[in-house]
Amino acid sequence: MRADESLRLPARLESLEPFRVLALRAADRAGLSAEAVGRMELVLEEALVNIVRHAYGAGEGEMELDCGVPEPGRVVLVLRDWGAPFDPLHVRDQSLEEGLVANLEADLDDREPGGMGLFFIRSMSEASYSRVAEANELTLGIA
Amino acid sequence: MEFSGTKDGGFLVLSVGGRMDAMTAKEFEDECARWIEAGEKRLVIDLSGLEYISSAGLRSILMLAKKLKAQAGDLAFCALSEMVTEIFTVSGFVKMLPVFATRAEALARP
Repeated sequence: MRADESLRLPARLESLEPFRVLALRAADRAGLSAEAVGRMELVLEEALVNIVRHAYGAGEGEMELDCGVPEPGRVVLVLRDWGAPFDPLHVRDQSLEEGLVANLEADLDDREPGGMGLFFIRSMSEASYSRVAEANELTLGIA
Repeated sequence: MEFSGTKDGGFLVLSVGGRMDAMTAKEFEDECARWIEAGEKRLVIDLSGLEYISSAGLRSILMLAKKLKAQAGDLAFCALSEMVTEIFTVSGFVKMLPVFATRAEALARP
């Protein structure tokens, strides 16, 4: 995909807002519905927060976002970091996946706080992952 | 985020506006902690002004609900926007917590 706009910033929470502004411009160009814009903002935040918290351990690094509009009504976001290889779409441990599903049904006493971000990425966008050279590349399609 | 708290019978109604995300969820936690420290144990959160929530916001809400339950209090929500309704539904929060269409219904509980 040819990116219409691209931005690279430090992997910190302060970078979320400029990335969001960039994605909103793409959503505007694509003419996304308000409902789809909400989903786009959500999966973008969850994916960026995941990079901020986990990609570089205690160290510093950068993250990059490409925004493209391949056709009207559709936005494609590509997120890139240069941290340790991590595929957020692939759950290695099947019991973890079952635990997450059970957690969605759990009552207040048994509910655990984790796992929701990755669940949203997988369930609310067309997501694919690849390791390209030294980078993690997560592609999120929203229509 | 914007907050506005009012007493209504045995409840504290807290109106929450803006976006509850990874940057701002802590503001919501701090606001609720202040009311709880002031002795309020039954909170109704009016979300009509909340336009966006992410997993960071859900995490804050879950922790608040657990904290209030441990203190024999309770937590209910009302007047969710479309986006917040979808997230509460997909995440299972609508089944886990009391969620009402209107503030009046949330306040009509025993």
